[in-house]
Amino acid sequence: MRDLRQIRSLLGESLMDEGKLALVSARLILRTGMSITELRPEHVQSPAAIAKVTLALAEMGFDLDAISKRSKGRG
Amino acid sequence: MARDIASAYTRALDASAAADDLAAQLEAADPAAISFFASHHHDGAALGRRLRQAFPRAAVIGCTTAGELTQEAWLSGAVSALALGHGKIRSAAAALARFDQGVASGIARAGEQLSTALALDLRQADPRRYVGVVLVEGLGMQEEAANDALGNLAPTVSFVGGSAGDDGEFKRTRVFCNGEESDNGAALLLLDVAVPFVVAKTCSFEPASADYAVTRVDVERRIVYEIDGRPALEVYASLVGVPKGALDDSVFMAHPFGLMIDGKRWIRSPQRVLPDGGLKFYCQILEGMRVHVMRSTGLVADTRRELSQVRARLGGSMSGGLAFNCILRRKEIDAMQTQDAFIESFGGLQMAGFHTYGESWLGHINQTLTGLWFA
Repeated sequence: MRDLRQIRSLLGESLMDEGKLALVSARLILRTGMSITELRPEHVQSPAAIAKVTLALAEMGFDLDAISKRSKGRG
Repeated sequence: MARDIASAYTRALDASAAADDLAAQLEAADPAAISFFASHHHDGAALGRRLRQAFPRAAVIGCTTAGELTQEAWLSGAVSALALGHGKIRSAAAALARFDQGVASGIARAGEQLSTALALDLRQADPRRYVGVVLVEGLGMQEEAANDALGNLAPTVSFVGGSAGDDGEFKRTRVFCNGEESDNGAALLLLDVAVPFVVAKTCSFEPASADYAVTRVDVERRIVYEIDGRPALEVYASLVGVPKGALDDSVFMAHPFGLMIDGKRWIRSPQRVLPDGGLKFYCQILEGMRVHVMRSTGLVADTRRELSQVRARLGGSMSGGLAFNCILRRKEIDAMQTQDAFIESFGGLQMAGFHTYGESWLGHINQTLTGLWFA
């Protein structure tokens, strides 16, 4: 399972734009109460936190598995 | 030469007279988009149609209010409006999202209209070039769903705005789009902006307590039942230092809850105590969220500071914009009798706005001033 640091990194790779990342991060805060830009230590590997963030990103159309595959393909 | 941006207001009650008065004041801006904010006594749909007749190339949205604003006037029972000219806006499109068959589907249909009109893939839109305005019906508690649906459709585009009001009667609010109206929907405006712009929000609060975990909620009904595993009313009363029986509007207004994340304050305002021991809010708080009880820091000074920072972000040149000010901030301003000082904060700008039943920017928030400002 990915932790929130890895999720943040994947999202950043997908958006490739700090401005866009800031907007999506703010949306995540309001949907989950959690920040992926200023991570709280207790959230980083929390299954509940990871599930909430992953679900919210999926609702916004960010498929982390697909992003990861593309990233590996580029690497 | 066109002025590119113009604000206006009118006290005319008749829709045609009001529209004609506004049109005469807005004409110099060569409008590409017009946002108007009308008292609930006005026929906003007719007003919008008349403005479209006057400016056929302009996208026109509006809503009813809990009071109207310009840089010159603190109004009630009137209409305020802002025209953005073709010198500032390359193109603009407006769409009415009707929620009759669900919020998400209504927003999705409206989004398709905006996408088609601007020949734009909303998911790929550049947030430095495109920005949206959203005016949501204010009584159906559907703002979170509407903002989430916008985020699902266009996650990297800011939609900023507020919830329609009816001057504190809490009976019926309406939104308007190109001459149509809805009391169960949202008016959307998408702008392709040719000049620098900033979306900003400010609230005049700072944490007055440590943060506490919200542990039991009814999300849909915006009710908090427990904080740190204890009855919410007990915890809140203790933190604000008043007996449970003395919790009233004045306490709620002075001490909302705040999420403090990434250095930003996201305010959640209590509305009332419920007989079942719940504390009802004006927007949702999710289980597990950590909240502070907040205290006021000075509304007018904070507003001035925020506008000064916006001006700096725009490179020192700021022409005006739209302001969405919470009705609870209006009540605080009324109580402090600082209306003139608040309005003077916008001196030198072309500004129109209204007092809202909630503010929107990426989500639904309270006791905040959200705004869209242009160089």
